Amino acid sequence: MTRSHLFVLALVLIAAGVIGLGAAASADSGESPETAAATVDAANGSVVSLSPASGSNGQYADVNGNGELALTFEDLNEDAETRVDGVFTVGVTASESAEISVESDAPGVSFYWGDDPSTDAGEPRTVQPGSDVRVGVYVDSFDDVDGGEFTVVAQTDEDDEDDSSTSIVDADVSPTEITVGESATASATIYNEGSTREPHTVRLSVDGTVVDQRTVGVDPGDTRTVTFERTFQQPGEFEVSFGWLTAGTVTVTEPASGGGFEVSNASLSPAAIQPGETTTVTADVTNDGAETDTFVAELSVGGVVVAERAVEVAPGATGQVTFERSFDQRGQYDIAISGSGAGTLAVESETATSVRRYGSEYGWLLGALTVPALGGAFVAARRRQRLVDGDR
Amino acid sequence: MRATRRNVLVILGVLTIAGGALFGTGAFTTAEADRSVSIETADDSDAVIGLEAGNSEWVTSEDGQLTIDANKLNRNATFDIEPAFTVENNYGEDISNVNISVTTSGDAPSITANTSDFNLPATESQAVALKINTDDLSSDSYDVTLTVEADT
Repeated sequence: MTRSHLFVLALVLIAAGVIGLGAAASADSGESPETAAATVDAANGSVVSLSPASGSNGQYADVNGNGELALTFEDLNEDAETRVDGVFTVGVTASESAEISVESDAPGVSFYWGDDPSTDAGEPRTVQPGSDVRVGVYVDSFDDVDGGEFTVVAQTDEDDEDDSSTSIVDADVSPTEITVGESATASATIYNEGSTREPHTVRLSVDGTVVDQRTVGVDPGDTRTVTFERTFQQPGEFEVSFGWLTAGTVTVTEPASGGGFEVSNASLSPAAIQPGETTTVTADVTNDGAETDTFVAELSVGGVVVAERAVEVAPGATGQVTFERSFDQRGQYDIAISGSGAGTLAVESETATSVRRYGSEYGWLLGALTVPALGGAFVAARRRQRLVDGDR
Repeated sequence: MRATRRNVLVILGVLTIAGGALFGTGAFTTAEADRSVSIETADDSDAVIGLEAGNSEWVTSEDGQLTIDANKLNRNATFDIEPAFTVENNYGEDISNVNISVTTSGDAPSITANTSDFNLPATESQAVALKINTDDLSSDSYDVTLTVEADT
């Protein structure tokens, strides 16, 4: 026997974190948690935030320019199993608890909960509202690894929606950095897993307000992509989403010469009416640019844009935009003009709040349950086998 | 019946279908987010846990990987190799309670790391000694697992 070496070293490199469960974003990052976190947003508030963990292992997670969490491991030992505890956190920002799971499509990469590698993050874990769960990363580099994609799945209970076989499976927006007056294109891909052609209403949300919507038919087993073009007239960061799915964050900057509009002092009068009566909503619109320009103001009721009105404003001046709207249904309605809140309108002082749920996705339950279970078995089997015949 | 791999998969399939039927009547909302993970590997000497062979004949670096070359070990002997290798902290921050353990399977030779837990500031190295006992050893290939565990 002429083997040059008799023994083979298999490396198991383990970096265990001792820093406990922390806030979703580190307090000294100089950014608010919202900007540091990648979010999966719903029209009525974000569902889940993905953030680098607060411990030093959070160095392997970063939120990239698209506002999406990305994991980067450089210089891992070859032919080794590397375990890194607590790399990122999944926080539930919705008002109800969610079943969270993390599924890996990247060869050699698996995920586990917190600092316990015997758990499988592909198996859903219930996370309460306002809480988060830490996720560790296991990398098996006995075969070639270079990364890939992983999927964070959040599932919440819904009790008042009918079922549907269509759902949005992909969302994107580009470009993500524009100047005021320019447009970005948002696209949503809808998949119909049913056996009949189904209509699907796609609702485009900006900062949680539905600003546009379109209904398209999707053939069974087919996908269809719907695009929206959106012009941004106000500077700032805007979260663009389709229902639960975040398409991305669009950063709108002012040109060096100044520009854009500001909307302020939105108000509502009267704030309480009887069904069938009319209320008046007003706001100030300031033109920060150097030329007279037209601003298209949007009135939103209950998180949905219901009316638009153009107002021309001289440079440096402030104009006023007014909407009049009547309400037939009793209830309480949140009213805003182009992101500036005007308050809550009470129609005959009902206590019930209006239900605002948009773009909910269904039909993924089976996929969400079966994929982690089978994936976990495959990963475990493969790892055992590698350990046994890790002869190289 | 032996629990073959195929059997396990069949059982899993039945379980998951049953789960779908169980919960399928409720209404759920699911959000999915695809994210990317990027991984690069490096030679042991440059990796996040840097492993560099010492000056001994027995522990060497081959193809960038730490290796015990046991053709040069006498049988029925005990070797104290000091230093066998060094651990370098390329993690970027201080790590503490670094624990080195060596496990072997079956009738492989006994290998122990002669070190207690230590702290390792960023970019610094620590030498580790190995004790290898080759009593009753037959000529064969053995899997040896070296585990480096540290608090970050």
